[in-house]
Amino acid sequence: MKSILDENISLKHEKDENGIKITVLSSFDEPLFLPLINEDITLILNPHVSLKLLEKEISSNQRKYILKEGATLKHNFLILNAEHEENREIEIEKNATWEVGYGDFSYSSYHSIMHCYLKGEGAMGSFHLASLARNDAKKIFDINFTHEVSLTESIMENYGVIRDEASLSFIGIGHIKRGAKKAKAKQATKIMVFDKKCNASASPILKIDENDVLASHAAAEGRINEEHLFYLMSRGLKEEEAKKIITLGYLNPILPFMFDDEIKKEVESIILERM
Amino acid sequence: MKTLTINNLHVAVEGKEILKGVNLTLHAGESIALLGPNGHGKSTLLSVIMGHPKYQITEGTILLDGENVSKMKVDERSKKGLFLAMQYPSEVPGVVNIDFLKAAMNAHRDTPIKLFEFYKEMENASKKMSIPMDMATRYLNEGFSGGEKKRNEILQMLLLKPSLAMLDEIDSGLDVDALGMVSEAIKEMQDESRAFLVVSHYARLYHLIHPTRAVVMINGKIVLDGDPSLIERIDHEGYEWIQEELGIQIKKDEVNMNSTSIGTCAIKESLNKEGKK
Ligand SMILES: Nc1ncnc2c1ncn2[C@@H]1O[C@H](COP(=O)(O)OP(=O)(O)OP(=O)(O)O)[C@@H](O)[C@H]1O
Ligand SMILES: [Mg+2]
Repeated sequence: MKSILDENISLKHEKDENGIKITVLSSFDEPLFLPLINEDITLILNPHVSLKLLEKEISSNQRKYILKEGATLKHNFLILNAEHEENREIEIEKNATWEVGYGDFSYSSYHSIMHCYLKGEGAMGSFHLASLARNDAKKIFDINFTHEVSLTESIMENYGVIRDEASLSFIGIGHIKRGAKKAKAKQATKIMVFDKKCNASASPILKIDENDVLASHAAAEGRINEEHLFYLMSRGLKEEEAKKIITLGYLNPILPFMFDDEIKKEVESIILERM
Repeated sequence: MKTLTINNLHVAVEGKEILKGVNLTLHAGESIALLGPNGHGKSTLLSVIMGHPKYQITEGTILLDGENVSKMKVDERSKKGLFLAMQYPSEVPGVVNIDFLKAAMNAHRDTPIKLFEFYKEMENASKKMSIPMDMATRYLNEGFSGGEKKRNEILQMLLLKPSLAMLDEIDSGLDVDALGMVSEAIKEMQDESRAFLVVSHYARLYHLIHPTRAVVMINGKIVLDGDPSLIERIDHEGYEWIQEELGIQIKKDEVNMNSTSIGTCAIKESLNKEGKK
């Protein structure tokens, strides 16, 4: 996979005291990746440009993404090590789409803050996260969508599995501003808890200042389903193996949003390995 | 397995005693029909033998060829040849049927099954159960119809070749053709090395698979243990005669109207259950 920082006729790189600015001038078929670099980065997708971007590293620097009219960013995160707090801001203009498959399987504590602004009619943000927290990791995902204008849509689906003494929080606000008529916002959060000392909190909220909207919200926290475990074990699967398979089943709703078969396979094998 | 011996088995769920001293011995080569009114403990017995964590054995033993089964983990019981086709098979979201079946088969072998061999067996068993191969790539039982779930249970039995197959109302929800397929599958597996313990409310299935013995469970105990002619008698006369002949009172499902905690839906449900009889 090529780096988005490399020279390419479809990319324009600029650097000033505010960090690096990358403008994507025309569409890419092949996915690119953004390597770890200690600079603030602003990524701009020009109108109607589409890009698939993979990020595997978390930087403490600011990341900003601007999707111009009609642009599409398919964005994948596959996080195996995270030590920093990440801070990302996304601006989505008219008819542009941000589609995210986010797999977080790091062992360490981690705080992710995302603010996504739906700024033009027809703007769409679709965010799908699977997170596995183990040992004594404390993870917080603070994912926010702001609907500024009419006919904008956001989907946020967060799935989590916690083991040992780890803690996992899904927070954030889906905000539909006054005047954002016919906006649609969907939040679904599910956390499965394995052990007694785990700490789960699934508490994203919707804040709606407009009447003419379609909004749905669902949050659930629970233990592994005893019937499921019994069923698999009654067919000979060892407890650990059954739990792994159930976990994989629990986290794999993000797979359709991973754009590459290689990445899908990697996600599956990491879940099995890290459980 | 040669023999499964259940001795004075008492079982409670959430503090309520369901099985109240079950005595039953099964031998390889037998096919036993287990009958009894609704709610008298048939599924409980099968689930306890398989090791469902919901049930507590408060007294008595289950021995498999002399070994204490209640000490074994659920997967160990499966590896010893026990199999339970459940009355209500779980839907397990996200778990792909075929991956699960392969994992289950591998659990019963020392070396992983070759892909080619696995597909051959799958194809074979799917054909027998008339399960389209594309169902194998769906999530385990999720969205399967009642009959499809039951057929998927028998498919698993065919793949795992248990030595004691416990089938809990495997005929419920099956259409005529599917009932034919399921009973063919059972018949094909009946031999001297295996035992079947089959729960059903209908003589029809039993007519197809020819049990060698029939036992009746009432009030959490086996009260009759005899030849298959019991099936005919119960089919024609119900259970009332047992009350008179044995001088026992058959307990009806209790519908506890005073309980506020179960709510109206639960009451409706149990009333419906009552009405089914
Ligand atoms: N969790 C529970 N709490 C209280 N009672 C329970 C629980 N689970 C099962 N029971 C009760 O145990 C009794 C036996 O149930 P079981 O399912 O074994 O009956 P069954 O003989 O299989 O009936 P059916 O023919 O309707 O399938 C029933 O009265 C049932 O309501
Ligand atoms: Mg039952």
